[in-house]
Amino acid sequence: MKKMAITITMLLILVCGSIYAQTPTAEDILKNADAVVNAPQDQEISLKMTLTDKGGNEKIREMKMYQKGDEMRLVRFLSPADQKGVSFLSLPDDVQYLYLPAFHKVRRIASHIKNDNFAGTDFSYDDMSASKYAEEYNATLLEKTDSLYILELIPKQGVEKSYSKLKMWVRQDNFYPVKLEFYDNNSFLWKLFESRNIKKNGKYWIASEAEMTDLKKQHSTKMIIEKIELDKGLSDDIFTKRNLKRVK
Amino acid sequence: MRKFAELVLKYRVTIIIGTIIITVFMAFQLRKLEISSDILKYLPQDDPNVVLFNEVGEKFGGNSLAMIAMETEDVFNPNTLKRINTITQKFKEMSEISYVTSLTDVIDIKKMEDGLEVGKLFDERHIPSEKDELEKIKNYTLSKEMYRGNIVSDDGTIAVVIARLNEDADRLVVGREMKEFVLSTEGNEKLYFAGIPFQMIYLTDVINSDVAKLLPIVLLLLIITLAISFRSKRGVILPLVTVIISTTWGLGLMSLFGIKLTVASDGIPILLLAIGSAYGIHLVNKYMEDIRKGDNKIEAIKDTISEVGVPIFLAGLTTSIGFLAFLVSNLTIIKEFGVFTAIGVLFAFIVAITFLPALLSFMPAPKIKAKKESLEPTLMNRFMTGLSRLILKRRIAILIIGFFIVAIGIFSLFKINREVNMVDYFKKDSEIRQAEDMMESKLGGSIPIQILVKGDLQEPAVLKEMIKLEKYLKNLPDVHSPQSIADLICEMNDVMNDSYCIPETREGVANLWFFLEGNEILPQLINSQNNEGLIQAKLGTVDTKKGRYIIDSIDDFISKNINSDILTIDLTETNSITEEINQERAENISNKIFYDAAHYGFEIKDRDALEKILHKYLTQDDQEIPTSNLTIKLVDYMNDEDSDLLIESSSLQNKVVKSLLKYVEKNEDYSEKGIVSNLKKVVPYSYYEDDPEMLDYAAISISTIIKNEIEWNKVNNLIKEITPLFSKDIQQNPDFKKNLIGDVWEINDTQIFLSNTKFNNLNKDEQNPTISLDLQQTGMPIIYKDIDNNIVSSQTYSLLFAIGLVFILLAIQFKSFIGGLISILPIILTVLFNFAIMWIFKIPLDAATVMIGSVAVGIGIDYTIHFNNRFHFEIGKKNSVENALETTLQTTGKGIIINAFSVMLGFLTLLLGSIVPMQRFGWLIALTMVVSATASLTFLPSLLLITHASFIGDLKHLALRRAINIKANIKQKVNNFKDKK
Repeated sequence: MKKMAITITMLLILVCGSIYAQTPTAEDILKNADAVVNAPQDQEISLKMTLTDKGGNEKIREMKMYQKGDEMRLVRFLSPADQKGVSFLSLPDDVQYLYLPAFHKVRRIASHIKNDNFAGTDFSYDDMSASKYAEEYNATLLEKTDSLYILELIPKQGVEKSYSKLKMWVRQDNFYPVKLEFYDNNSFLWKLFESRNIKKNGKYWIASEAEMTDLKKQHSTKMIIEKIELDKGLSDDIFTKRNLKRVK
Repeated sequence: MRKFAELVLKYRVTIIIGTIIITVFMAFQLRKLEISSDILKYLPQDDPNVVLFNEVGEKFGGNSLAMIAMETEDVFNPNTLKRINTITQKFKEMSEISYVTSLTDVIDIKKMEDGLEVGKLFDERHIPSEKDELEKIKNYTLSKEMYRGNIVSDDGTIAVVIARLNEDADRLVVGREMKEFVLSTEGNEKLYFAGIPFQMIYLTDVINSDVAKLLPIVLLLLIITLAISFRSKRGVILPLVTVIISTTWGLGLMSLFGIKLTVASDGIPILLLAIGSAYGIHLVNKYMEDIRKGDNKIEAIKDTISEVGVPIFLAGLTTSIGFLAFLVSNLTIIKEFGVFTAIGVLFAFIVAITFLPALLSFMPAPKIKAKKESLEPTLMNRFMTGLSRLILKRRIAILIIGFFIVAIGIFSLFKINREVNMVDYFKKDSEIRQAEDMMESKLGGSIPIQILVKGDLQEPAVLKEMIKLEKYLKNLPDVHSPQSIADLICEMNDVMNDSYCIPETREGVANLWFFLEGNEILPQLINSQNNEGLIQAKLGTVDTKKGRYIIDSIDDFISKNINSDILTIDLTETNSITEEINQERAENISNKIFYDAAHYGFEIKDRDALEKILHKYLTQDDQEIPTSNLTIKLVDYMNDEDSDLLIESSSLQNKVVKSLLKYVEKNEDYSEKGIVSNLKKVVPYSYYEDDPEMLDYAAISISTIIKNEIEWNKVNNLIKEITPLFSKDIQQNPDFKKNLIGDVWEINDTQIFLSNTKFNNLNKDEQNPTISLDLQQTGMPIIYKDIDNNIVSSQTYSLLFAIGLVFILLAIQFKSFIGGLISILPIILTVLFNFAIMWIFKIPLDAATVMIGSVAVGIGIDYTIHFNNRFHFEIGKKNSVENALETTLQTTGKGIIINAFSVMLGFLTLLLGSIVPMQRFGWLIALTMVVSATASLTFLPSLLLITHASFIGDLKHLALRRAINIKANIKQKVNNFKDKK
C-alpha cells in the first residue's frame, strides 16, 4: 500500500515535471519575460524616435538615454535643434525632474496621472516604466504556437491600470516578448506594441527596434536603437539634478 | 382655350388615371422627405466663408460644439463629478466625437512648490469624495481663468461637458444619442442641452410636429370655407382634392430631388393649400354659374375652361413669378423654397385645369336650386356701395394716405432689425432657448468665434501677435474665454518662469512646448506641422447686430494692428535703435495693458504718463543691480546640495558674492567667461580639482541668476511706478496682476518684432528674414453675418426682380406702360406697409420674414389684375364711372375680399406653430393679404380716377358719360313705363 502511494507520488511528480518541462506556467513565462527585458545592469543608448500621425506626417527626435537598474533613467534630447538639451530624469518613487536649457532651469515635474502620454509619444508614463508585468497582472496561457506563447494578462485586484486586458506574445526560445496588445475598458484593442530585430548583445537579448501604435489616435512611435552599450557600470552621479543640467 | 377644353374632355380617362398614378408615386416619395435644420446649408457651399469654416472644422476636429450643462447647488460634490465623468468617458468613446472637455477631463498646468505639473484637474479614475479635498479643488478651479466661466460657472453651480463633433458626423443622430445617454445617467442636477447639434434636434422636431399639427387645421379651415361658399359636396371635394394632389406633387418632387424641408420650406404645404385652392374654387364657381345659366354638363365645362382658363393661368403665372424671384437669392433655403412653391403653384393650376374638369365630366350635373337670393341688398352689398361712394368723394384723401404709407415704408426700410441666429427661432420659454440663455449668462455663450492663424506657431513673433489679438478679444463686450496655443505657452512660462508672456526666443517656446506635446488639447488648437493654428473664443450674445459689430471690430483690429510681415531685430546686434522703435514698443505694451485693464475692470487714469514711464524704462541706459536680492539668491545657490558650486563656509560664500557683485556692477555685459575667472580668484582649487568643468557649469547657473534678478528688479520697479495710474489697487486682482507682469516683461526683451512695412528702413537690403503671418476670422458669427448679408440682398433683389417681372407682365397685358405702373403701385404700397409694420413692431428680417415681400407681390397682384379687368370691362360697357366702380366692387371686389379672407385664415394657422420666424411670417402675410385687398379696392381706383388712366378706358369725359347715362336711365324708365302700360 505504502509502496503504491510512493509510486503514485513519484509518477505524479514525473508527469507534472515533464509537463513543466514542456510548458512552463503562464506566470513563469511572464516572470521570465520581465526578467529578460530587465536583464542588463545598466544601459547607455542612442535612440532615434519617429512619431507618425494619422496624416502620415513624421517627426523625428534623437535622444540619449542612460538607465541603471529599472528605476533610474536620464534622457537627453539631441534633436530637434530647438529642443536640444531638454533632459528628463526619473528616479525611484515617481520622482521626476525636467531641465529646460532655454531657461537653464530644473523643475520637478509631477504627474499623478499615469495614463498621460510622455512627450508626444504613444507611451504613457506607465508604459515607460520598467517592465513589471508579473507584479501587476495575472497571466493565463491562451495558446502555444510553434515558437510563441500567447498570454492573456488581466490586472491584479487593487492594481489600477488604464487597460482592461493585455495580450502578450512571448518567444519560446528566449522568453523575449515580441508583441503586446493593450485593450481599453470596453475591451477594444487600443494600443499595439511590437519589438523587432531581437538579437543577442553579449549575454543579453536586445530588441533594437520597437514600435507603439495608438489605434484610436492613429498615431505611432517607432524607436530605433542606434547605439547601445551595456553594463558599463554607470555611476549614480549621472542620475542627479546636478548632472541633469550639465548640458553642453 | 376651347380646343384645350375639348382635349381635356377627350382624354379625360387618361388624365384621371395619369393623375392618380403620379399622385400615388409622389405620395411614396413623401415618406423619404427629410428635414434639414443645418444653418450652414442656408448658404451655398462654395461661399468662401463656408469653405473656410468647413476647412477649419476638418483641420481642428469639427465645428459643432454640443454642450451639456448640469446645475446643482455645488457641482464639486462626488455625485455630480461622477456623473460628469461618466458622461465624459462615454462621449470620448463615441467615434463621432473628436474631443471632450469637462471638469473631469481638462488640461491642467499647475505651479507647485519647486516644480510644476502638466496633467488634468481630476484623475478620471479617482474622483475624490472627501469634502476637504473637493473644497481645495473647487477653490483652485474657480481661481483659474481657464476654467472659470468656461467649463464651470463663476459660482460653481453649473458645470458643462463640451463635446466637439467630427466634421462628417451626423449631428442629429449623434446629438440624439448623446442626449439619450445623458438622460439615462443618474443624478438630481438640472440638465441643459445647448449648442448647434441640440438646436438642430429641437428644430427638426419642431418642424415635424408643426407640419403635423398645422396641416389638419389648414385643411379643416379650407373645408369650412369651401362649404360656406358652395354649400355643396362637389364644391368642397373637388377643390380640396385638387389642392391635396398638387401639394403632394410639389413635396414629392422635393423629396425626389433630395431637397430637405427647412425652416423656410416647412411652410410650403400650408402655402400651397392656401394659394392653390383658389384655382379649383374659380373653376367650380364658374361651372356652377354656367350650369345655372342652363348649360348642359359638357358645355358648361367647355365654357368654364375657355373663359376662366386664361385668368387662372395669369394668376398662377404671376404668383409663380413672385416665388421664382427667390432664385436670385444667395441663400439656398430661400431659393429652394421659391422654386418648389412656384412649381407647386404651377401644379395646382395644371391639376385644376385638367384633372378637375375631367372628374367633373363624370359627375352628374348638379340640380339647380331655386334662387334664394332676395333683392334685398346684403350687408356686403351695402358696404361695397358705401365704399364706392367714399372712393368717388375722397379719392384725393385716399391717395394721400396711400402715399403717406409709402413714405413711412421707405423710411422704415432702413430701420428694420435683422436676426439670423438659430436660437431666435425658438420661443422664449422653450427648453433650447432656456439652455442657450443660461449658457450666455453663465458660461459665455455657445457660439464659437474662430480665428485661423497661418504662420510658424513656434515663432515667438507669431505667438506674441496672437496674444495681442486675444487681449483685444477679451476686452470686447460679449466675447469670452479666448484660447489658443499662445495661452498655453504663456501659462507654461508662468509656471516655469513666473511671467505670463511668450518667451522671446524660439528655443524658449520650443522648450515649453515640450510639456504640451501629445496633449489632447493640441489637435484642437494647432495642426501637426505647427504652421496653422486656431484662436477660439465664445460669443455671448445671439443678437445679430451685436455679433456683427464684434466681427467687424475683430476684422478691423486684424487689418490695422496685426503685423502680417514681421521683422525681427536683435537689439544686442543693432545700433540703429531709433526713437521711433522705442515709441512703437512703448505703445505696443501700453495697448496690451489697456486691453487687460479694460477686461479686468481697471481704468488707466493717464495713458500718456503710462507710455512715458514705459518709454523711460525702455531707454534706460544703466542697469540697476538689486544687490540684496542677488546676494540672497547667490547664497541660496551655494547652499543647494544639487548646485554645481556647493560652498558651506559662509565666509567663503560672502567672498564669492562680493566678488561677483563687484564684477557685475563694473561690467554691464557680464559674461560666463568673466564669471569663471572671477570665481577662480576666490574659490580654492580644491573645490574643483576633481571636476574641471565645475566652474564652467557654475558660471552658467550664476549668470542665469544674475540676469533673472536684474530683469525682475526692473519689472518690479516699473510695476511700482505705474500702480498709481490705475483706478483700483492692482493687488486686488491677481489675474490682472499676472497679465500686467506679462505685458511689461517685454521691456527685457532683446529680440523685438516690428512691422516690416512700417520699419522698412531697418531692413533696406533685406538682410533680415521676415516672418509672415496671416489671420482670418471664421466661426459661426461670420456665417451668421454672411446669412444676414444674404438676407438683405435676397430681400432687395428678389423683391425688385418680382416687381419688375410683374410690371412687365402687366404692361404687356394692358398694352400700356402707365397701366403697368399704376397696377404695380398698390403692390408696392402693400410691401412697404409690411416693412412699416415690421419696423413698428420690431419684427426682425429673418429667413422667413424675408420672403413676405415677394410672396405679397405674387399673391397680391391677382387682386389688381382682377380689379383692373373688371373695371375695364365695366367702363367698356359705356357705363358711368360711378356705376362701373360700384359694379366692379360688388362683383370682383366681393371676390377679392372673400379670397383675401380665406388666404389670411390659412396663414394665420402658422401662429399655432412653434417656430418663431414662421409665426411672424404667418401673421405678417395674413396682414399683407388684407392690406393688399384694401389697396386694390381703394388706392387703385382712386389712382385710376385721378390719373384718368387711358388703359382702363375713357375716364375723362365724365360729363358726357353722365349725360349718356342719364339719357339711358330716362330711356329705361320710359320703356318701363311703356311696359307697364
